[in-house]
Amino acid sequence: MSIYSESLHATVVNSLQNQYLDQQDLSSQMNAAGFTFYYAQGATITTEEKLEKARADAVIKETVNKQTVINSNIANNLLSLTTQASQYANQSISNTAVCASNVQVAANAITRLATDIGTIRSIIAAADFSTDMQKQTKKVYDLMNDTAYSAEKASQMAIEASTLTAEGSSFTVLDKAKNINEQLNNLLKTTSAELDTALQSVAAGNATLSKASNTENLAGGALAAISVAYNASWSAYNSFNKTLNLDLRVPDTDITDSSFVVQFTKFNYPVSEYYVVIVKDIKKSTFSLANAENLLLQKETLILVSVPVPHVSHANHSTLLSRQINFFDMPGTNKIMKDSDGDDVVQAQRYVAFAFAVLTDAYKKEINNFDNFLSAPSEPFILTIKLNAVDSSRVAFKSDNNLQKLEFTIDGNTAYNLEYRCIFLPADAQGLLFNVTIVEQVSRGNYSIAEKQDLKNLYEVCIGPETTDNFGNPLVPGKAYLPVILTVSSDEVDNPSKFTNALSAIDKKAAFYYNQK
Amino acid sequence: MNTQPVPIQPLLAPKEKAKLDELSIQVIDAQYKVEQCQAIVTSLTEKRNNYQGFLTVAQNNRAQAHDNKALADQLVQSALDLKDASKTALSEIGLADEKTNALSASIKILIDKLIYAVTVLNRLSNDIVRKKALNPLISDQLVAMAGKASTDASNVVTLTLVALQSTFIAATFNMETEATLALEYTQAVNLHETLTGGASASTPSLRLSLEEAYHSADTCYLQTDRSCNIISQELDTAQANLNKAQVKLASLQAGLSAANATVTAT
Repeated sequence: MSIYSESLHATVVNSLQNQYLDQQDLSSQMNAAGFTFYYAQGATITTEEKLEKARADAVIKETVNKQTVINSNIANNLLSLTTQASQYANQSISNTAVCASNVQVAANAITRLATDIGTIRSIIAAADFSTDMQKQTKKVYDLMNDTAYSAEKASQMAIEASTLTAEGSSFTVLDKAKNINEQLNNLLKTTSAELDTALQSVAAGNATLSKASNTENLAGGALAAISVAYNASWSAYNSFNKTLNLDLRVPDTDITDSSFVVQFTKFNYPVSEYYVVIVKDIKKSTFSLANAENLLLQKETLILVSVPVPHVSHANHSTLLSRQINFFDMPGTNKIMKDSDGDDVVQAQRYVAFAFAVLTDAYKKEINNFDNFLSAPSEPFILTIKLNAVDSSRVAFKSDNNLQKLEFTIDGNTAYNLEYRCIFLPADAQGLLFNVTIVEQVSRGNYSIAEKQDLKNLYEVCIGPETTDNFGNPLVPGKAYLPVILTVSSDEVDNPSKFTNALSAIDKKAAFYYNQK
Repeated sequence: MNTQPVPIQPLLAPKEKAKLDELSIQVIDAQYKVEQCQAIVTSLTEKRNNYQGFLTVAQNNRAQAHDNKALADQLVQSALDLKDASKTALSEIGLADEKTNALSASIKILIDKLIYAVTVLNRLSNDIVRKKALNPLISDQLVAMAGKASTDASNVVTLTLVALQSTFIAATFNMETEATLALEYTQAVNLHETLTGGASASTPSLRLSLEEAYHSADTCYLQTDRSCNIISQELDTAQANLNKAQVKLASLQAGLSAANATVTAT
């Protein structure tokens, strides 16, 4: 390489590296902002649910308290009525006693008078009075006796009336009314205290909610800002990479269990052979043109993988060169591809790709420089096994009298031991941030693992009061939830970073209402 | 003399290095597994603690709801007692009232009879006094007795009028008492119905509300308790997995140390 080319190369490598670091920095900031926003959303939802519960509780407490007040009012009226009744009854007792006594006094006087008249009659009968006088006396005597008899009867009746009045149980009624009034007052104290507590919870919940939604808004704003910066940085990196580094890429979408694709645009000088070489990310800064030249010299075909040269007729176009590499089965050898260190290319390892162009001899002679060309490293990539996401249209919610469950089937047999984590998102949460990065951080307590059923490829998970949403809030009866399922490797031996986990689509049609059983 | 340089560190045969590398990788994987199991145990412990908190709240709520329900049951019983007692008191005052009313009627009849009898007596007394003027043989004792009887009769009428008056006062008061007790009874019935929701017991009432509150507090407690048990079981399993992973890690670490020691010794 000429001194100019070396300077250019160093500049390109530096620029790309700086841009990459900037992008990584923004990416981790964006992730952090994403998590902050996610947890802020969680805090808002938790607070909202608590508030809803507190409100519902307050409504019940208010009803009970109102009813207690109504009953208590009746009991208060009743007590004052009963008190009055018992005062009247007291007066009645004293009145009927006076009456009985008066009637008795009158009756006794009448009886005495009748006796006296009896004596008068005897004297008249003994003396020789006229028949008329005799008759007259008898009449008085009979009338008086009859009156005395009536008086005796009345006196008897008055005593009975007095007894009956005195026997009245209005005092028992008063005692009972006092008792019930006291009980209701005690209950009223309790229900009022409970209502106060419930209302305080609602007030506190309102305050917390406004704070939580404020925090959520700020976190949302911060995320939006950082996302913009990240996207800008990402575009800048891509643009640099395109202009300065042949648009060298290992597209993530083309990585499979056994292959990946390296692609770049053709070099601006006459090239006879193109190669790609895979280097461990940690070694990228030390991998140099000299290393590449050496590999070429050693004919390390498992390390330096050739890429077909495009036709000369297309030389003026920025033709895209691309090579699919089946790294487990290199052509003609059945061997595993090796990285620049001569180690087997493995999954879960972070690599970069370099493009290596061998310039034509004619060109080399022309410029009198026999160096070839090595690109700057590509953006790092990791070879992973991509797991299949569960098809959300195959997820069904079943509910009967005893239990509620989610059922789904998966495609065919898979070579790996997989775990299906079922996560329940609050369906009414607006703009909930949820992606694989976040769902991978949902902790064990907040998802349910589906169990394989006897039936082939059928999985199910029971939903009960122990089930929580993704934030760890117990499911709320009557509330809608969206099930999402994360496919992860549960292999005891395999390194989990060999796998790319897959999240089922968030499908509104799969929403279900949780009920209490 | 041996001029060959003595190597400071023994060089590892490629086979031994590979063995050591493999062991190291296994230790790293086992460590990862332990971390994973630990994270699961931590998460489930947190969840269990959360639910235990819910359970304590649920238990307190249920106890309070139970007390309230017991108080409601007691209230309903007291209201029933009050209603019954009011009914009895009302029927008792009713009987007393009937009796005082009957007494009033009897006393009226009595006073009518008495006045007639006393009028006839006064005429007899006058006749005896007139006869004594015509016939001095008539005894003075008879004349005196007849006079006294007339005077007594006048007093008797006065006393009987007093009795009549107090009878009417008593009757009036009894009627007022009866009316008050009747209103009181109506209110007692009303209180019982308001408390219980009446005969159907399905209209909203304090008893129904407190019963429902207890029922839902009880259900909540039972469900939370069941959830706690399920989470505890999950935690036990996770803890067992963690222990297994820790044992495996320890054994691999021991293996690696032993292998390192062997390599260093040779």
